[in-house]
Amino acid sequence: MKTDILEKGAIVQRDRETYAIAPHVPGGLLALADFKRLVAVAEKYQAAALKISSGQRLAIVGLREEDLEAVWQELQMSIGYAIGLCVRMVKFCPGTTYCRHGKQDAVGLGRELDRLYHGYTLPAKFKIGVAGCEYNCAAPLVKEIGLTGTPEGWTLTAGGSAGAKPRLGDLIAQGLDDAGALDLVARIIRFAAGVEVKKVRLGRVIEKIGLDEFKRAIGVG
Amino acid sequence: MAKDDILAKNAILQRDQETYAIMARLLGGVLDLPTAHRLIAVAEKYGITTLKLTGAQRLALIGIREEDIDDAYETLGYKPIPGAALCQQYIKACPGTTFCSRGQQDTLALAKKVEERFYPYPKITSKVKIGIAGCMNSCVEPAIKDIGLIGTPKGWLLMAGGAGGKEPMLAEVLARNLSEAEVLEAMEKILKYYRAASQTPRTRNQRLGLIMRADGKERLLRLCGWQ
Repeated sequence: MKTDILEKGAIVQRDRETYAIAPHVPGGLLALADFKRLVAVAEKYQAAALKISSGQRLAIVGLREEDLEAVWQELQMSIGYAIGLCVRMVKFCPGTTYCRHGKQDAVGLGRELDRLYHGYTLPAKFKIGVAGCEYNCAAPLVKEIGLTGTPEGWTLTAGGSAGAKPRLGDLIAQGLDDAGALDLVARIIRFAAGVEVKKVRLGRVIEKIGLDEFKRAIGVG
Repeated sequence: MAKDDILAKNAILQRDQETYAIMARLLGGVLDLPTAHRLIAVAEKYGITTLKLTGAQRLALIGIREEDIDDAYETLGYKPIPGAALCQQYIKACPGTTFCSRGQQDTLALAKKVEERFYPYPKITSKVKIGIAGCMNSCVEPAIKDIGLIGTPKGWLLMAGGAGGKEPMLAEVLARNLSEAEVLEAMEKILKYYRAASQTPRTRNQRLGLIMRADGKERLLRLCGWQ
């Protein structure tokens, strides 16, 4: 029986025969040229569907294993880490770049976080969401690290998840500028990298050691 | 006069206070190839170089001038649904049993039925976000949706009252092991309850989760016939 092929970013589908791939599209900002190649490739290799995922990716679904290499070559795009124990995605909203509700530059910070951490190996699944305002379009409260833009700067929450045991992130800091947010994210990722058990999401770790201890460990308060 | 969103055309005013974003209608984010080609045609016609895949599984065309909106829809091949405030209402669905090896229920079929039967939701003045996940992994974040569904081997788990915004709340589980028909029936009652509260001064503009907290979830359980 076929299984996921991590190094090709390929996720085996329900038929246990074909694969889905999800190219790396930071924040879902998809260049028209990339979109055209995606559509052309889907057509050429007779994909079953294109699907916009909850992680702001555009997946090509229903590809044959023997076509995967050619598909990636023709796409000229890199792998989106939709699976595996790593920083899965940095989800971000249009922020002050496009949206008139935006209070902070979610695209700028999101892109920088994506550049630094997308695919970064950690002991557990790790998601980051950056929202330009309190409407929280990028769902930061259910991510390991969530950033929400306010007129006073970034609010950072940690330990959220949406899965089998949903949990809202805990408030860690408010009023951060971009550099302060990046620094705190770096410290949380260092902490997450040092967790000794595998596959335990950050929220569970915080619950186990207590929020105060977590804050101490990352040098807050 | 300053510009604003054009609800009748589902066009969202952008930060430049001049251009608009319009969205392709993609139920559950599934994009067929003919639609993809029409999107490319619109983008090329209006010089759009970047598309945005949104957290709501939409594909947004950003930067369309007001006078081009009608023509853009014509090229896309459909009319906007008036009354559907895009940023306030959506149905998200994961690939479910159609594609995903983990799926326990048919999310895309349910999403289609929910949309046909209920969408848009006029007279509900607050957000109506629905997330339909095929398994407990919850790719579409049902726990922070007004109505969240999770597929399990024995049927659907239904929760309500979640929110991800200014007052984030986790949804509360109302029932388990529901059939698709039971889900639709319950959703009708929940939306009716939400609509009534939406028109009551005390609870106007409140998200379902806040209304449920004030009323107690037992009230909704009784309305659904589960208590």
